Amino acid sequence: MSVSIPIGPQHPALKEPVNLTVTLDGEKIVDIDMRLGYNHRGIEKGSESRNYIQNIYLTERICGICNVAHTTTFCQGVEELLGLEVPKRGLFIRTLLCELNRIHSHLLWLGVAGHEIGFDTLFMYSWRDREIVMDLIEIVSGNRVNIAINAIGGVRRDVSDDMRAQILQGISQLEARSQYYLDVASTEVTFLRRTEGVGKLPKEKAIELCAVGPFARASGVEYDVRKDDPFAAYPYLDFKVITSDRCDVLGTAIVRALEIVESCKMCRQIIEELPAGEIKAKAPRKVPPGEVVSKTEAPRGELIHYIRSNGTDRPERLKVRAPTLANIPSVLYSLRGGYIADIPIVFAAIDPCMACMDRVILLDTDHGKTKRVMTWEELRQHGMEWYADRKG
Amino acid sequence: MFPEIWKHLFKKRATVLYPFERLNVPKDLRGKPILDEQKCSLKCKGACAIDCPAKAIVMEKVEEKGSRPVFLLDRCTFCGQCSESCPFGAIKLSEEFELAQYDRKSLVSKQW
Amino acid sequence: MPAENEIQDKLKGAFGERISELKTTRGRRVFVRVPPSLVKEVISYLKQDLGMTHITTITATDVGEEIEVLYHFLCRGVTVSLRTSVPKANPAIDTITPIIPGAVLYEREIQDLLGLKVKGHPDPRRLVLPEDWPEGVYPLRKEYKVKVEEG
Repeated sequence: MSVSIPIGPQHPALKEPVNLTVTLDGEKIVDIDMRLGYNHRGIEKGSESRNYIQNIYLTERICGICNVAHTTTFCQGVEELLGLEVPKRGLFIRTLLCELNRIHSHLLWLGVAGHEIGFDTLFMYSWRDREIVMDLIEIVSGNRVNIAINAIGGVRRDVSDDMRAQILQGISQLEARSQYYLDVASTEVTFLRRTEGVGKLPKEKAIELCAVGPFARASGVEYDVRKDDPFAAYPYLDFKVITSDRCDVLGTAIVRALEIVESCKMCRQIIEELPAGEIKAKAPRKVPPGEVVSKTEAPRGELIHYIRSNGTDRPERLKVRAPTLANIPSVLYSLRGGYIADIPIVFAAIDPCMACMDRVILLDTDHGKTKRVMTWEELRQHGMEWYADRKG
Repeated sequence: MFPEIWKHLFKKRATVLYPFERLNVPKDLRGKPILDEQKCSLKCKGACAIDCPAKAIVMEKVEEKGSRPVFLLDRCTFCGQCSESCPFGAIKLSEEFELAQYDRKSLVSKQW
Repeated sequence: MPAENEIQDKLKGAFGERISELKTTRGRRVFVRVPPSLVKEVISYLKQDLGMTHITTITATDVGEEIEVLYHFLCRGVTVSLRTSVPKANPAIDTITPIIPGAVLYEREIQDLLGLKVKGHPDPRRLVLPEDWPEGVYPLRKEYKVKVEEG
């Protein structure tokens, strides 16, 4: 007898709404389906009535955590349409902020993953270390979130010499802490029990369903836009693409912790090799007709902006595909055959920039009667208790 | 995690008891926009208002001479684009960030 | 030889005159235009002979009398954008999910927002618009005007 549960859209903490319908057989998930669109804001339509400068700020607000990646992709697309060359110092500062943003996003994810499995100590510690990165970002750009450092033609603010010293000091602290989080992810028993062997996604399926980002790299797919299609200052930097053969949620945690270490090394390289010169080239307001495909590696995966211009100061069409949408078919595949207690952590493994659920209504399909309403908190509690009971 | 927790028992509290204690904000924090009346030309037809992404600047007529900007602080996102678009450098973002009010009308900032 | 020129030459060799437009705008970008009937054949060729593993997204644009559909693929580090046009009066196109299962959500999105009929799609439900959105109203078409309300 299978029971169908809708996991409904609203939840007041951190994330955005989504609706899942889970078909269960006992505790095992037989099938899972998802409804999206609760956070649809009409940004693609809205961009057609704003000029390119206003659109930088509009694309920034597509995501609060990946905001640097969105403005970088948009600005570099418009710069290609204009045939404008960004000065090298501008490219280096842009890349510095992309990497600081990546460190921030991965530390945030570690906290969220810890919270989903009930490990609130890890949540508090990683978010306190995230404050180091937020302070560095604030020193460079003037704001903690929605930093608006990019402009068409380069960056808006420069990095002074005492900022460089402060950044290097912050990076050293972060490197020590990220080594600690790597140890937690690989040896801490509480973490391993909830993430090892959970949410398996084999490599062939990851390629077939076109997964991107650390989630795909944890299944052994070696695709990173920074290496395969370099943009900004990445051609001048020396770094490794981190993959793992584990194919489960623990693999995503290890990949992200190692990526924090790699990003710290890149930031250090950028600060030490920062070239002198201008930070911005002058850009005309009207963009000649043309089209461009602009790709970058956001913290969550491959991000693409397609821009078509028509000779005025407003775009003809802006198309954005955020990385989380590409990972949805893969996460639904990896949840089938798992347990309902695993839903919070497997969903968190793709680092959803659009997920949040509350209100589980248990429906008995044979009798058609509503049995019980559960909140997301109760689902998390259920997961923690279920695993505690299973052990002993 | 136990050695880590032990170490943290003896560390200083990380929370700052705002508003009784204040943190120093970094230099060049993006706060409230300030208009320099002397530099505003009155004649440029509102370069700041055209580029504002949140439509937070309204141009108000000044007798027969032209128009000057009025900032709507409840819509402002403190991005600083007005400061960059002004051809005369008349707008600067200050470090003032404590701008909350009880009434929306008191957030209309007419600085002339 | 740079990868994008190699891909361009191979496509020209395999399809010749049936491709109406083929250009490289910069490194690692190729743009191809084909008629709608040739889309599936070109995608199979890209997958089998040119090492295409990944679809990035599907873009659809309203260009007046027609709707232009662009498929963005990844072939060995080069982004190949395959373009085709269908008339707005009858915007029908075949699904490519048998060849690339990962395209399922992107086809639902263009069906929802632009009214493109994707024939043979395994799951033709709405993706982003709510269920009570009126049928036949497509927000991303140019006819749909956004109403501005002053708050």
